[in-house]
Amino acid sequence: MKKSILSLLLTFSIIIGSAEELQTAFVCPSTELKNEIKPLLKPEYKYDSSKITRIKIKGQEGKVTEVEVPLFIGEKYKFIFNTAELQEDVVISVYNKKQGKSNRELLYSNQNDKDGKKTTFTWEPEKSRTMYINYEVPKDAGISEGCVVFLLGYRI
Amino acid sequence: MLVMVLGTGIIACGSPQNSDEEDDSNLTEIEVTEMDNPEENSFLYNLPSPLQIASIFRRAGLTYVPELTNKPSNVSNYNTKFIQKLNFGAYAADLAYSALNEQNQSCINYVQSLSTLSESLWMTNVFNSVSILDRFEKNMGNGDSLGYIISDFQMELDTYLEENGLSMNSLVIFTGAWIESMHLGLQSMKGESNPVLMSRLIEQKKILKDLIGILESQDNDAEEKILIGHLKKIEGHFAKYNIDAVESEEDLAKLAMSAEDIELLTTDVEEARKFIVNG
Repeated sequence: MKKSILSLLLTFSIIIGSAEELQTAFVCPSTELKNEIKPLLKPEYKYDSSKITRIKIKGQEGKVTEVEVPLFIGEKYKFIFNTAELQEDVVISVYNKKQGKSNRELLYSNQNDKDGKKTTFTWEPEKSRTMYINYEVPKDAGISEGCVVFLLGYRI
Repeated sequence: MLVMVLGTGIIACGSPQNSDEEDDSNLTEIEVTEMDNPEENSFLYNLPSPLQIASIFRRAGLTYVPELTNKPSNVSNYNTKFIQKLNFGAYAADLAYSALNEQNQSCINYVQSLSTLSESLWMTNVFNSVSILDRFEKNMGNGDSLGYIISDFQMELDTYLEENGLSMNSLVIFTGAWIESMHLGLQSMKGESNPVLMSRLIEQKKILKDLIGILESQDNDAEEKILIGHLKKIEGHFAKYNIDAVESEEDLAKLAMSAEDIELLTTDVEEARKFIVNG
C-alpha cells in the first residue's frame, strides 16, 4: 500500500514537473522574425546571411555574447536586427575587433535608439571589414530566455 | 554526423580559434544557442552566401566558362549524405555563377539537380516554400530577378537548417560552395592573369580560416577530417598574406601571387574539388 502511494506521488510529481517545463519552454519564432525584417533590405540590398541567437540568462552577472561577421573589403552592407523576442535590457553593439583585443572601437550601439517599443534596428557601416556583434546583458538582468535575429544584406 | 550534440553545454562566444586575450569567464552563466534545439552545438559565426562570393568574383572579372561547372547529370553519382551535402553546395555555387551570367538553361538544370539532392537530404520543403523552379522559369533572362530568387532560396535554406538544428549541414554545404567558387575563380584565369580577381581570391583567406576553425571545433568523423585536410592544404598557400591588415580596396589590390604559386594553389583546390564532385 505504502509502495503504491509512493509511486503515485512520484508519477504525479513527474507530470507536474513536465507541465512546468512545457510552460517555461521558449521557442524562438525565427521565421516570423526574419520575415518581419526582410522588407528592410529593399530596394538596395540583397539577403546575404542571417544568424538566430538565443540568449538564456541564468544568473546575475553582466555578460556578452559575440558574433563574428566577416565582410568583404569595399562592399556595402546593411545590418538588420529584430529584437521583438529579445530581453529588453540586452544592448546590441558592433565593434571592429573581438572581445579582449586592444584598440577595440565601438562602431554601432542601439543603446540610445531604444525607446521601449522599437524592435527593429538597422545600421549601414561606412567601411567593410570583419566586425563583431555583441549582445550585452547588464548585471542583475535576472533569469530569462529570448532570441534575436540578425540579417545581413549586401548592396547590389 | 547530422547533429553534433553537446548536451546542454555552454556555447563559446566569439571565434573558435583560441585567443589568450579572450575572456572565457563569460562561458559560465549565459547559455547561447543559434537554434531552438538546446542540444545542438552552435558557433557564433556568420558565413557569407555563395551568391555574394560569386558576385564579388564576377565584378572582379570572373568570366563565364560553361565547362568549368559540375555537370548537373552527376547528381545521380552522389550516394552518401556527406557527398550529397558537399555537392548541394557546389551546385548552389554553379547556380549563382550561371545566374549572374544569365545562363538560363544552366540555371534550370542546376535548380533541378539541387531539387534532387534536397529530396535525398530531406529538404524538399525549402524548395517548395520559395517555388524556385517556377520562379526561375518565369524570370528567364532577367539576371537581377534570378539573383533575388537565389537570395530568397538562401534565406529559406538558412532558416530551415537553423530551425532544425542542422548547423553542421550548413557548414558542409557552405564548404562545397566555397571550394567550387575557388575552382571557378582560379580556372577562369587559366591562360590570362587577372590581378583584381586574384586579390579577391586571396581575400577569401579570412573565410577559409573561420571555416576551418568552425569545422575543427566539431567532433569530426573520417570524411570531415579528409575535407578539413584539403582545406588546410589550401590555407597553406595564403599563409604569407595578412588579410586582417587590409583596410581598403587599394590595399587589397596590392595582394598578388606569383604564377608558380597560383599553379600550386590551383592544384590543391582541384584536389579538394575532385573529392567532392567525383563522389
